[in-house]
Amino acid sequence: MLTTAGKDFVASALGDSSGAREAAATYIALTANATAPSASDTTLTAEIATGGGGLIRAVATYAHTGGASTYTLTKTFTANGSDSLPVTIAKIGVLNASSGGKMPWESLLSTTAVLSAVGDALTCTETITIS
Amino acid sequence: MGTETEDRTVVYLGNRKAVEVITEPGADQAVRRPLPGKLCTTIVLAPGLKLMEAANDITHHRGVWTAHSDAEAPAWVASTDPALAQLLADHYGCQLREPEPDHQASGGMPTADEPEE
Repeated sequence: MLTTAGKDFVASALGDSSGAREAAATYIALTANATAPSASDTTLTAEIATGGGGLIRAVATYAHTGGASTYTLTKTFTANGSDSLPVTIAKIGVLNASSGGKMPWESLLSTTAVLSAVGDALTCTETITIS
Repeated sequence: MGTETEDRTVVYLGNRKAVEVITEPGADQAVRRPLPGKLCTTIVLAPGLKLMEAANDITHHRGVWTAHSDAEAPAWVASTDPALAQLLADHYGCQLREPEPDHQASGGMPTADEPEE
């Protein structure tokens, strides 16, 4: 879901030449919170932010196919000894900073993912529609 | 972390069954909409990925390639990282090419030496 803040983000990213242009939104964050996204959301509720953990917000891999009206962000998260396990990942946010920042997109996972032990990994791909 | 000027590894994949995965407003399920032609999928890797991590992000069943194509494998691969390009070519059993800046702009048009499909 494109959030309301995301609309402002897109406008800035595409058209703002003032120097206040938004940074690229290439970070993916995870949460166990399963509440449906709302356009008014500006942060990812209960974002996993365990210091040193493998499930914290991280830069994703960007991909685009020529002519497509979409692009993707892909990130593999691997749980480590600092993470609080087990955890069921239910929702992700796309943000434009390593902390804080704007959250233009927020999505429930198509299926939740349970990470039970150190070394368990989740590969998630967020598809963003341009038009 | 990454900035707009930071060098990133780029991978180009020849995509002969390209799709865009669209979820219409109000729909529960995404649909895979085919895109005609011989296209190129351009991938800009996250900074700091190790070789196998990069390969996993691309080849995983929930990864990049599946999100962009209905083909089992790319027609060809090129990358600014030769080791990653070779790994992907071996994995997919596809042609290895030199990276060219116009892969995306040309739509991944085949060269004369591209195998017939």
